[in-house]
Amino acid sequence: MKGPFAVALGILTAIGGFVDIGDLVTNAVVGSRFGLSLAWVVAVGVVGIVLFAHMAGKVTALSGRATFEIIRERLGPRAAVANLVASLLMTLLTLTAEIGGIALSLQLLTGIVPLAWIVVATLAVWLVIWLVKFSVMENVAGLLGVSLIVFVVSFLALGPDWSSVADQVLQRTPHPKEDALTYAFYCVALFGAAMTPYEVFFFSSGAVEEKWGPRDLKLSRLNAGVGFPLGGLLSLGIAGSAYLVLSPAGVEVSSLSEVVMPVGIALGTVALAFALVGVLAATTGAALETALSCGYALAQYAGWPWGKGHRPVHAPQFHLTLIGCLLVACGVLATGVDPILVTEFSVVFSAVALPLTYAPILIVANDPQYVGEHTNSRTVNAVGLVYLAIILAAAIAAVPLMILTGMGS
Amino acid sequence: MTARRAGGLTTAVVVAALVSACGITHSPLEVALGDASSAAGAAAVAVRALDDGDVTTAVAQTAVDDAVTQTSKAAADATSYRAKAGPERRLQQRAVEVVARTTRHLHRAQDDLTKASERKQLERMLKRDRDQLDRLSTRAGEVR
Repeated sequence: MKGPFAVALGILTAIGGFVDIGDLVTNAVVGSRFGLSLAWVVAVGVVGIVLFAHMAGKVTALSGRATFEIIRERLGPRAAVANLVASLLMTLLTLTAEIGGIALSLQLLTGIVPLAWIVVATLAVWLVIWLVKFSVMENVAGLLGVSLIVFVVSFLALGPDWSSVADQVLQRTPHPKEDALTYAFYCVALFGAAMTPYEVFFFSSGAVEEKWGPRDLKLSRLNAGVGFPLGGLLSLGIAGSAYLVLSPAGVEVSSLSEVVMPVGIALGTVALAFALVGVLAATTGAALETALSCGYALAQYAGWPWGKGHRPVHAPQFHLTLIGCLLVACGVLATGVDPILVTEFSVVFSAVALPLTYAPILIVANDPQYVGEHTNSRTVNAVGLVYLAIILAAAIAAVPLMILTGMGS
Repeated sequence: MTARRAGGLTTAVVVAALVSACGITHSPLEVALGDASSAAGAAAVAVRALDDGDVTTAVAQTAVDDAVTQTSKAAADATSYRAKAGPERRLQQRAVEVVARTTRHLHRAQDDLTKASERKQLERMLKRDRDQLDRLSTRAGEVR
């Protein structure tokens, strides 16, 4: 039974990591404004995250150590600190967005204002991390998150005009109300949402928590290869549903309520309930992952004992870090800031932080000291370098595009 | 003029030229009207979906509440916008009126959402607002 359970790690990172609040919002915004014209960005993001998550998983499976520990050892503390700061800040911003996402999904389920749910959501995330086993946490969030498949079903049920879809995918559909820079801004935002830095750190640290060894190499490939493409498919379902329902009504998505409405309109209230549970599971899963990733990142850099399996008394700095990060996220949201705005910032700044996260992984995955004879093949390195170039271009363009387009408005 | 100053000026001119050539900066009035139009459209979709039994009251209510928040912000942006010339000033005045009326209609939608007999009229009203705001937004894009 170890196989199916271990594959759930990939499913969890795909649903709670690939499809998190950033993907939910960004894909729906893009779908309502550009249809499926940016589907290619999702495909590029999926291939990239599969490539780098597998590298991170391979390094962990073969060395028994998590990515941050090795990056610090391999690059030295000075070089690794840039990686740490960028990843930690981005992960903290993403954690804030995810807790906001939990509060917004609870509002959609109950009708009670999100501000009332922020403390509840923060406390719930902390209690789950403290009390629930890693394997239970990942399986429950992962399995519930699969209900987001209703977005794909609703897209199909709405009966898309496939020739129009093909025209959009092949860039043959003009968008008279949008300009080239807004298109470019959303390309970067979608790419940033797909390749969020915490995903690889959680993937790698989660593998240590699950005690992966060399025999789990195939499992790593399977998790990344199955989990993330599933996330990509869900992303396209979200964009497609928004395009078919909201675009003709002149709606440009700006809230979570608009993200889920197409499912209800296509399939009715039972499907809508599945969508809401899926959104809640995806945001909760991602909040758990990002909170843990904050602890992982700092503890692995500083050389402190870490891991969900360690009781707080045995890994006090790790547990204090994630509690501190949860409190910061809760405090930011308590000011009344719009969680969707936080989400939009988090996906853009994710793009900025990408090179500092992914370049070290490529270096470490080529070091025989950690991966023995399993260093990257020439083909993988070539593709990895192409991705680093794309990542660098996205990182450089992200902030100027954000300013010039007024956050894509 | 020093070389450094000239360089700075050139950069500024290039950036300004790039910005205007690409048409990247929508005027704040155009953005505000677009946001209000989108909010009215979303509320109309929510009212219709609730009437058809496709969404729950909590989801429809949240969508209308979100639309109120978005339109209120658009109203503030449209009011504080500094119009440059006569035609733009007249357009702004009209925009402020229509956004304010849409906000009132959205507040009414908040109150009457649970009354099934009111929904058809609410939907019609919000769709009219959306279309009018959309036309004004297009005009604001042309005027700037």
